[in-house]
Amino acid sequence: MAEIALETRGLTKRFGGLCALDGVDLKIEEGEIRGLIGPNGAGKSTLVNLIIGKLKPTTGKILIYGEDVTGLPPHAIISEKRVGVAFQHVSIFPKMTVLENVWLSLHARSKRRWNPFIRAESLTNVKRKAEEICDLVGLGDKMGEVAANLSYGDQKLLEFAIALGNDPLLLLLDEPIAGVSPGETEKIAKVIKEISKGRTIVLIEHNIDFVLKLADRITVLDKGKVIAEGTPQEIRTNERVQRVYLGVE
Amino acid sequence: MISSTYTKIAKDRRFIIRTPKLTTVFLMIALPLFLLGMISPKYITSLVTDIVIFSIYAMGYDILLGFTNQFSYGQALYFGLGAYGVLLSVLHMGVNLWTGIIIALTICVFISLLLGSLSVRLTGAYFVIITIIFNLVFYFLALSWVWLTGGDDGLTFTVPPLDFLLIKLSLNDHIVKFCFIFSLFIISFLILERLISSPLGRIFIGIRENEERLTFLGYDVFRYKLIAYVVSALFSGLSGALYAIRLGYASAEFFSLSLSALPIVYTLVGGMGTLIGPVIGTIIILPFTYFVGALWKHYFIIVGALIILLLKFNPKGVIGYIMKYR
Repeated sequence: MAEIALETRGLTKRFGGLCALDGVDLKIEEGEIRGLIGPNGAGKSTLVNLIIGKLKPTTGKILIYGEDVTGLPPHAIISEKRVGVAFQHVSIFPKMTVLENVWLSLHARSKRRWNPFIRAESLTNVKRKAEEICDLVGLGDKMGEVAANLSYGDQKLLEFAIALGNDPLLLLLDEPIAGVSPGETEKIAKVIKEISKGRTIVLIEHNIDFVLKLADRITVLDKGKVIAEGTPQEIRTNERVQRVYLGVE
Repeated sequence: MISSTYTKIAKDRRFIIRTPKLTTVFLMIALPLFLLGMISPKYITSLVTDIVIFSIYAMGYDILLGFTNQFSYGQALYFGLGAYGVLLSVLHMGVNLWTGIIIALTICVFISLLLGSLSVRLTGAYFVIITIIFNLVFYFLALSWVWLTGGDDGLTFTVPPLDFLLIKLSLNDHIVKFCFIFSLFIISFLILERLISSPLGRIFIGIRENEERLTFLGYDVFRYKLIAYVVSALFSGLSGALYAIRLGYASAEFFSLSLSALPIVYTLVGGMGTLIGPVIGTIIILPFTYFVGALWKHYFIIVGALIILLLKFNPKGVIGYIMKYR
């Protein structure tokens, strides 16, 4: 059996009276693409925010590669456990160029990042790797563009590129195609396939077809609870999922 | 901010801040300033000396406000510490000038590490308020500990000669004093320019652009903000020390909030996040306060109106205008 990359045990998060997540147990194996779907308000984004440490769980535990990371500060989870995250609402450095964006994300792992005496340009290996990542996500010809001037689809790709900066073992993609045109959706699907090599990917999406196409296994959340888990085929035919999610009576 | 101005260049080189250009612009400003200081009558030289001292103050402040987006209203704390650090160590310990300056800067680093680790975690208005509070605490201490600081009347001291390559330069001559302070101004710029174009400086710019994203890339943002705070305090301290040397005097007023306001004004007027913007801001505002301030004591009303007008039409400050029409 493969190693467990991400595990949650009885993860619960309450906002006052509202229970956003209610005892979620997840086990995601190394190397898989796990789809995480559910209707609005199912708790998908809350789950992401808990994993990266932006929110603290009310009860329950989060384990990444078998180690308890519950309550660690976000930067520690991200850097020590090599977690990458691409947010639903693109979070980039708008005034910097594409290359600088990626450069800065790679730089988080650079040993010479504290150095105040050398020029940033002299870290040529960081720059070379940044160029590689830009090529990988298909932004190779736009490296010199200022990030704010990119199309929304390209900004999503840049968000991926930034998330790949610390060469993550566990990559969380929060609604990668929300607000993206159909043509660009294809492009993003291809990129996700491309970057999934040697990584575990958690793909949180609202669009069920997109997930069915890409994921190895799918977990369905509804009202903060896991209601189904299985292969895309199983999920497609699961009655309960059809009832709550697909709206079939 | 300089970034959009450099967009065109960035397309070729793919990096925002082209520091060689920054140095060129700086030399274009510094050289005339130096000549002016050298050939002018004494009172103009003194004015230029002040411009240079406060430029160091403002450049250091720019690291905080312009590069890491931390709005401190308490930099006079370090200005005062720098001034008293050098004055008291010369007065009571009889050290030479270099040692005095180093003692002053060491004090600034220690205090800023302590106060920074308490305050830097706060953001927005909370950070502004806590820096004001720290500043006021030191101001009132300086006012009440008359035995140490001389309070409102302040203390005077004889500036010891400067040990420089085996010769002792007397700083009684105002031109020598000017050259000494000007050389520290150049060194300060070179250090700060190097800092902002270094790997560490890139992280500072990242904090300004999107602090949250940096956290979720694995950066411990707190540490970098603390470094920026300490660097800023260091240069505030240096300018305070130089101001005490220039006047041969320091008083509790060096800790006052109106001195905390100065680097903010200079940085905003000149253009923050550019390093040379604060220098330009100082060159514009400081002479204005000298000449108008001599005529009318409520001159800061005019300064305030000017700042509002200037920033209304271009929030990037004066440097925004220069870059726009290049």
